[in-house]
Amino acid sequence: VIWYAISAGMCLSFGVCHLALGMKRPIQPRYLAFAAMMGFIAPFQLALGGLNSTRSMASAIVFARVAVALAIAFMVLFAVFVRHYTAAPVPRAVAVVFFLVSGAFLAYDLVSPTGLIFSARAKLSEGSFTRVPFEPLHLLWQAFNAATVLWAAAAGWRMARRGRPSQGMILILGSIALLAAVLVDLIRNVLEREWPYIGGFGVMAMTIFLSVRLALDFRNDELLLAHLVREAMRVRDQLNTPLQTLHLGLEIAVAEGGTMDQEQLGRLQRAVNRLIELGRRLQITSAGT
Amino acid sequence: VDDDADLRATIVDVASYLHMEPFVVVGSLAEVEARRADALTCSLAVLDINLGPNVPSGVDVYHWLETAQFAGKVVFLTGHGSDDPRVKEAARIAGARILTKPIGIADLGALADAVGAR
Repeated sequence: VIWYAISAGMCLSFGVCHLALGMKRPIQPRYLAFAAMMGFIAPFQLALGGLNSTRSMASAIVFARVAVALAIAFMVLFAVFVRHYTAAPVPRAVAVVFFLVSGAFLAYDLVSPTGLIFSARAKLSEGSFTRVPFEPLHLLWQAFNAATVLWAAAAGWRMARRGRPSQGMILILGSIALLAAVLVDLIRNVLEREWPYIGGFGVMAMTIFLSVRLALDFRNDELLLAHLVREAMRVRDQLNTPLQTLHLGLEIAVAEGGTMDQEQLGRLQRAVNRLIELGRRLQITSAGT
Repeated sequence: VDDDADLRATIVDVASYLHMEPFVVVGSLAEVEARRADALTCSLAVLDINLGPNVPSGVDVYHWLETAQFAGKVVFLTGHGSDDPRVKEAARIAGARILTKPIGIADLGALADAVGAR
C-alpha cells in the first residue's frame, strides 16, 4: 500500500509540473497530454493498492472496475501523447477505431456487473485479489494495450531515426518497461500463479523516463529560444546599418537628380554586399539550428 | 556619431544636402573628445547606441556630453529593438529621443528644423 501511495504521489507531482510546463504560451499539447496521463495514473495506483489489500469480492470488483477505467483513460492519453511527441502519422480510420475500441472496453467495464477483469470471477477464490482470473476479454484488452505500446515503441524508433535519438530511445525504453511488466502479469494470469503484480512498476518506470526526458526537452527548448533571441537582436543591428546607408544613399541620389559619384556608388555596393553576406550567414545558421 | 564608416560618409552627404553645416561626423567617444570644441558648439547630437564591441556606447557619449555641458538636443539612433539593454538605458535618459534605423532624409531634416540647425 505504501508503494502505491508513493507512486500516486510521484505521478501527481509529475502531473502538476508538466501541467505548468504545458500551459506556457503557446500551449504545449505533449506536456498537457502527459500531465493528463499522470492525472489518471495517480488514482490508478491507489486503486491497485486497494485491490491488493481488500479481502472481499464486492470491494475488489469496485477497485478493479475503477482501476480498469483509469487504465483505459491512461492508455488513450498515452496514445495522444505519443502522437504529439513523435508527430507519428496516424490514419484517421485507425484513430477512430482506437477510440471506439477503448470506449467499448470502458463501457463494458462500467456496465458489466463484475467489471472487465472479474468477468470470470467464479475461478477466483475469496481472500486474495493479487491475481486476476484468465479470461478472453481480459486477455483481449491486454493485447490491445500491448499493441498500443508496441506502436509507441515503433513511433519512438521512427523519431530516433529522424534526428531525435535521445527522445526516441527514451520512448522505446519506457514502452519496453511497460510492455515487459504487462507481459509478466499476463503470463502470471495465464499460468495462474501468485506472483506479485508488477504492472504498476512498469507504468512508473515509463513515467519516470518520460518525465525526465520531457523536462530536459523543455530546458533545451528554452536555451535554444534564448540563443535565437540573442541572434535575432545581433542580426537586427547588422541588418539595419547597411539598410540605413542604402536608404539615405538612394534618397540623396534621387533628391540630387539621380546622379552619384564613384564613392557614393561604392558605399551602396558595400551595403548591398553586407546584406547579401548577412543573408547567406542566416541560411547557414538556420540550417545548423 | 556612428561606428560605420560608410554610414558616416552618407550622413555627410545628407547634412550637406540639408545645409546643416557646420557638422561633426565621428565614429567613437574618443573622436568626440578629440573634437571637443567643435562637438560642443553643435545644436543637435545624433548618437548611434551601439558603437561596436568593447568600446564606449552612444549612451557613454551622451554622459560625456552631459558632463561637458552640451547645450544641444540629443537623439539616439539604433538598429536594436526596445528590448536591448543599451536601448533601455538610453530610454531612461530624460529628454532624449530614440529613433530606429533606418530613418530618412525627411526625419533628419525635421530634427534639424526642430533645433534650428539649418
